[in-house]
Amino acid sequence: MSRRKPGTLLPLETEILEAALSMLHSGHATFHGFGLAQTMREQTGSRSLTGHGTLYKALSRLEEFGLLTSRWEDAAAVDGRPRRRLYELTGQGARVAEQALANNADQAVGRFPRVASEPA
Amino acid sequence: MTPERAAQLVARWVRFYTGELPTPIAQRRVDEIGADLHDHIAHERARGTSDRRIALSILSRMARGLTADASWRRRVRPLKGDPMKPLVAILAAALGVAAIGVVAIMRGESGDAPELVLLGILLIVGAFALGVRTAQRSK
Repeated sequence: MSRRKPGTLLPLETEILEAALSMLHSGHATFHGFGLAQTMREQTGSRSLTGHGTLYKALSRLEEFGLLTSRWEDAAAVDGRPRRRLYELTGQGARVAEQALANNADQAVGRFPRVASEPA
Repeated sequence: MTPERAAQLVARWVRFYTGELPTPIAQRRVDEIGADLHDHIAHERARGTSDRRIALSILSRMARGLTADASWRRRVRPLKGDPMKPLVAILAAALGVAAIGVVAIMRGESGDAPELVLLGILLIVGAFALGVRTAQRSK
């Protein structure tokens, strides 16, 4: 398995940032691990949720890169369930996510080249 | 297997691979995945998913994340000193997971539960990948 080049994001990490950005745009500035996995499943149309180890390792890396921050939710918000670790995009994270989305859009356009109309 | 039993198995695995890590790091991982497991079960039950499917989904997530768990742990606390002790422990854990996978396959075949067979295969593949990766990293 090849090592990543420094400063690059893995596809899953990009996917996480994009999902976080879409949640931000729909009014949810913070998210937790399971909520993120659920959103990613819905957005990709996948049948399965991301593995625990894979997801939380990626979240940890994104936090190290300064693209996400996290904190424990307030004890007052917890009602008969374990408290969640809440994540949030940083300004840099939002910019990286927007750039990734723009790159995806460019690649999508490139994938379907224009076909010149036939001469009359 | 109930979702709660599956969650206990995952929690036990998390406590195992976070063992000997600094307490704040280990506790955060234990608590965070504990919350995930709770949310997972609650969400799927609200959707009407059967307990068996929920349990399989939980175990499948564990199996698919095994190698990432190992590499995360190595990043947090790189192997030093005698590498054989943690190596043997990780390989023993991989063997244990593979054994669970074999049991799942056998029960799945006898009970005509193809999803259990699939889960067993996933566990075995995950355990194998974990073992190979651990062996490679120890060189």
